[in-house]
Amino acid sequence: MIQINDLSYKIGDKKILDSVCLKIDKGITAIIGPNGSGKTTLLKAIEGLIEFKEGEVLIDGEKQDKKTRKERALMMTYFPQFRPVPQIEAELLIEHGRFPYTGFQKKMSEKDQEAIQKAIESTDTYALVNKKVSRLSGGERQKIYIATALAQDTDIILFDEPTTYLDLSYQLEVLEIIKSLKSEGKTIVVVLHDLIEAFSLSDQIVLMNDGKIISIGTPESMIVSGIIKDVFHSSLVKDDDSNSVFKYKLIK
Amino acid sequence: MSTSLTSSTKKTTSNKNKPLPWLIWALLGAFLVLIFLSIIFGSSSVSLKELIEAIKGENDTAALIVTYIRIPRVIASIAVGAALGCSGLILQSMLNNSLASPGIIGINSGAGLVVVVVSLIFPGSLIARAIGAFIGAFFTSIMIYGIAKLSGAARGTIILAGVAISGLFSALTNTIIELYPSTILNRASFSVGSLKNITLDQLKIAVPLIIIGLIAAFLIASSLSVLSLGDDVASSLGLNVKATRFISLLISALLASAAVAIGGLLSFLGLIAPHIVRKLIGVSNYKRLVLHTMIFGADITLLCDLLARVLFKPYELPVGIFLAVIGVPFFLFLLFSRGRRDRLDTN
Repeated sequence: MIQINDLSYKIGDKKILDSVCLKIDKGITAIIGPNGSGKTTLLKAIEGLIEFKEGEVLIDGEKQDKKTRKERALMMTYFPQFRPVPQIEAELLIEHGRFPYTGFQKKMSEKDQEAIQKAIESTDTYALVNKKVSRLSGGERQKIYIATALAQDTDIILFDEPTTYLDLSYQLEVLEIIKSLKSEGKTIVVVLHDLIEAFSLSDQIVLMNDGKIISIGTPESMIVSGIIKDVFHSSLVKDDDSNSVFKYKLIK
Repeated sequence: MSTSLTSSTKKTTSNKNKPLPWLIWALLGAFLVLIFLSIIFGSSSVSLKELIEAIKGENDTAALIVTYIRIPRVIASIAVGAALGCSGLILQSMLNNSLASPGIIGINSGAGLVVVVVSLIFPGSLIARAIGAFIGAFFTSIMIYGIAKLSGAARGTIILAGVAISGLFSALTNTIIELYPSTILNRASFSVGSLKNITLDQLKIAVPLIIIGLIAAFLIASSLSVLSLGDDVASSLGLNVKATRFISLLISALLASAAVAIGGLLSFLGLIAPHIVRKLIGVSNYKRLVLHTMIFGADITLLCDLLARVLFKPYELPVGIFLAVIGVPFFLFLLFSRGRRDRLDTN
């Protein structure tokens, strides 16, 4: 479980996060909000990628900033919004997911190999593993990065816009992978721009604006409250059509 | 699904156990041939018969040439080539910038400046020269790192700061040599980089430092590979990004400074060797990249030094000239193709 207490973060005089309090349980929590609302910064704060002076982040009751980088890497995986294209083969990239588990010599154990195979299986990337990362399409590369994240095999996974720039088929594949992680009992926090995806995928929605959390709740309760309409000037309704890809659709 | 998984498992496993590709054998073959040719050819050539006699102890003149002129030079070429190649590879990897090299970012010129100052204060002291080179390279690295950090730690800033500092240090070095011409006996050779008149004593300090640096490069290879995924991913995988970058800079400085202490300001090797190796072997894990760059760096330095000795016989050109003749066109090619590379790197 992730518990965030009174977390604030400033760059210069600008408050990026403002007294954020949040509790995240197992399942899928989507963070939504307009551009610049502090979603990515919150994710980075949970992962420990930024140093904040006010507030605390607790992971299973323990302060996250008291943990070493390696200890954090064994608890949480971070999937960033922008990913470089290393000049390596996809398989080697996936192997990097086991970096926190390997010793000084970085030799892979049987368990490491199993985790890598499982990640390849979960993301259905058999056909890609021997290709160069730079030769893959955006969607294929995304899946390889997700496989890397899965190979890390942590209880908490933080995704920052995992479906952005992908075509619909890849978006659906990525969302299916995230759903399957939920069924494994993991805690998943995902920043999403697409409201339909966020509402259709998650158990809990966190709505941010200007560095503050302005609402937390289930997708249904958030629609009923009307706050989505206030922030985004449009709302969502359940899509009862059985052929619909997503559970919700946007309305004016 | 199970069939697919089984075939994939076999595929990935076989990939792990595949032997090093043909390139490593080609590089090693060239390495041995070049060592042999470098021992045989020079301003006064030693025939194969004379070499065998020298080994048997039956030809004192050939033995003297081989022991005191050729072998030190071969060791120097190997050490300098391997060191500068790996130094460049580490810098390019840690900065994720294909234009980084100890020559470009000022590590070489920092080492060169202190070597000149030390040579002024302790004329003829090889120990002082080696220590001075490391101090110069080390403080230049710290200075560049500090400037980049103060200015917002952008990786591109390190390159720009390095280029500026390199210009300053080169100007200071040239001023000292201009005012005190006796400081460095052969100014042109030092500025361009030369392995002429290398002695075994000169190598006793620098070569162990290079061996330490190369071992360290192997040890840090996996971390450099993770660093290539970007700071956020690397950090989330448990890597101490700042410490890795700092240690990488130190290893790079150690290798470059030891090379400067031996061969002067050889500029382009650190830039070209990692690029040529990457192009030849394509994608690879970093340990393999370090190994190939090491051997390729040694090969190209042995070749250029051999050409420098025999092409204009009995005159000898500094090896740095031949490295630059190969390096400059490649550098320009790299500049022109950089736009495409940048797009790939930042996707």
